[in-house]
Amino acid sequence: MMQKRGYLVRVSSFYLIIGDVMVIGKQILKWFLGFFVLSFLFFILVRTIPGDPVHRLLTTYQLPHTKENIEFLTVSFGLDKPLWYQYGYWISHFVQGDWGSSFITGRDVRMEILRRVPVSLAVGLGGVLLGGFFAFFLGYLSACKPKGFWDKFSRGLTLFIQSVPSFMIAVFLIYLLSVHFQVVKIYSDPAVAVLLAALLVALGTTGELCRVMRGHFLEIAATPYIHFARCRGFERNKLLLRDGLRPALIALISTMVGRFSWVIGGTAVVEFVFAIPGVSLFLVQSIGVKDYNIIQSYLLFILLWMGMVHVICSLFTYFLRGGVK
Amino acid sequence: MKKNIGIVVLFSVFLFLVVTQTHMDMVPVDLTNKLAPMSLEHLMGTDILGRDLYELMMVGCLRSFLVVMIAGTISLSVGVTVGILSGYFQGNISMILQFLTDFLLIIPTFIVALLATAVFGLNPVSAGIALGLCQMGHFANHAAELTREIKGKEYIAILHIMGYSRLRILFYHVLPGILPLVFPYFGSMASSNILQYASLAFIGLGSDITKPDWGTMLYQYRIYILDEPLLVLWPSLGIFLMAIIFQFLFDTRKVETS
Repeated sequence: MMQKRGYLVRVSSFYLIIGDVMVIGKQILKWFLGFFVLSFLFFILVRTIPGDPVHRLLTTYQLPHTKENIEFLTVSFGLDKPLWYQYGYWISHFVQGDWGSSFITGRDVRMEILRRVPVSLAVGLGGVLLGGFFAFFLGYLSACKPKGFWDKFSRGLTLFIQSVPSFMIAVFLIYLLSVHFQVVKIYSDPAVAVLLAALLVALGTTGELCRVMRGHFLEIAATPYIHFARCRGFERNKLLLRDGLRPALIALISTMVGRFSWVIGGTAVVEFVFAIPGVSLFLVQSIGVKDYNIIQSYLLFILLWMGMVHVICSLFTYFLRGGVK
Repeated sequence: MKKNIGIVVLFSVFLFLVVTQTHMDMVPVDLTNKLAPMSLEHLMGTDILGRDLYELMMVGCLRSFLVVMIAGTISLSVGVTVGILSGYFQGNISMILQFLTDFLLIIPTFIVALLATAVFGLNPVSAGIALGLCQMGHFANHAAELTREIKGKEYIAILHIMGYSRLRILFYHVLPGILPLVFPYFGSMASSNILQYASLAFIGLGSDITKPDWGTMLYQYRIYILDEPLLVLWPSLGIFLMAIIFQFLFDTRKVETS
């Protein structure tokens, strides 16, 4: 009997693993397909931006727009080839790690993007993590006492975040801190700019997530195991933080997946206002000068980042749940 | 809910009537009358170029409103259609539609809108279409889930037995069931769209600085925030009020609790 049960367990766990592998394989296939479909769409979108880089380059270096110059540059950029050939050339080299070089400055695009990523990550990831932390505790505090002070405060904060544009808060902060009181020099001290930008992102994240966290905490408070623990005389609010920590963390991570993938790209406005030399500001500048290679590579880089975030987050929730799907 | 939609329609009619009476294209510049205080002639005063702020605000309001309407209509109509189709049918159709909505949810809305407006120029139509298409995924996901729920109910099964066609069941019996539950999200979408459009205009790729978008105005007036706070206050107040009104008109809290 015992032997048979052991055999059954082994067989069923074997099937479970097979099922997991199937699910993972499907996900990988989906991302793979999506990568190529979206890269094609992005390619078309980028190529339809009006104006062309050849004229831009000639204007930038103050060279005459002669026929020979234009022809030489068009051929050297490979822009004379048909579009499908350009796409194939670009994507096959991108996959191999050669992201091409900038049309205007001639620098290697991959180096240029990767050099700016840490700054963007400091603003975006730092802000989102900090915001998640605040949202967790604000949600907890407002679930402790519904209709209490923290509950009202979190509702006000959410409404404020949803109706005041973040760049206005930034402009106001800049003028208040560095023009009126002259406490810090934002544009000459990048560290301060990064710190302020991260705090702003944190504020936005807190505002968006704290109500969600409050809802999750209230849901947890209504579960049977909390109810029975309360019947045994434990305090509700302590229980929420001690026994409700794990489900609340899982909920927090699954709501934050979207924010994590937003980290690169979503902070464009903040980077623009604080003039932080991150990837998104780089993109805004590159769109201005029609640097095809940079824009395309940037979009695909975002896609890669999102894939990575989804993998990490699902692994994390997988382990938090104790290996249960 | 019907009352709220009525309010929005009335407001839009009013806005069109008021704005089309005055300078629709360009508010005249009057350099002799810079930074005039509030008066009966200039209800909100004039800006650094002597343009009447009240008129700028009205045109800006109309433009933001157009963005909200275009984006909302696209994401609601296309999103809900895709959602009920992918929720109702099984197999390949559902898989492909699910795949599409998943990727629409993943791609960053703001960056795509930034690119699209750089390509087609920043105006309410291009921004509205870009924002609407990118946010359609939320509606589609929500509608698909609700459709799957409704599909299992008995009255739908009976309709099948009675020999109703699938499309008729979908659009006459499933759609009315899910629309009241999806529609309120229009409000929170609308206020986020107002903010996104303002941010796009603030960054200003492909924008026309003579067109008074609230974001563009804020970008132009931002250096006067301490000397002439009213200049910055009006557009900010406009964005704030419009976003908050949409939040309150379409309250999603009631739907979530039911």
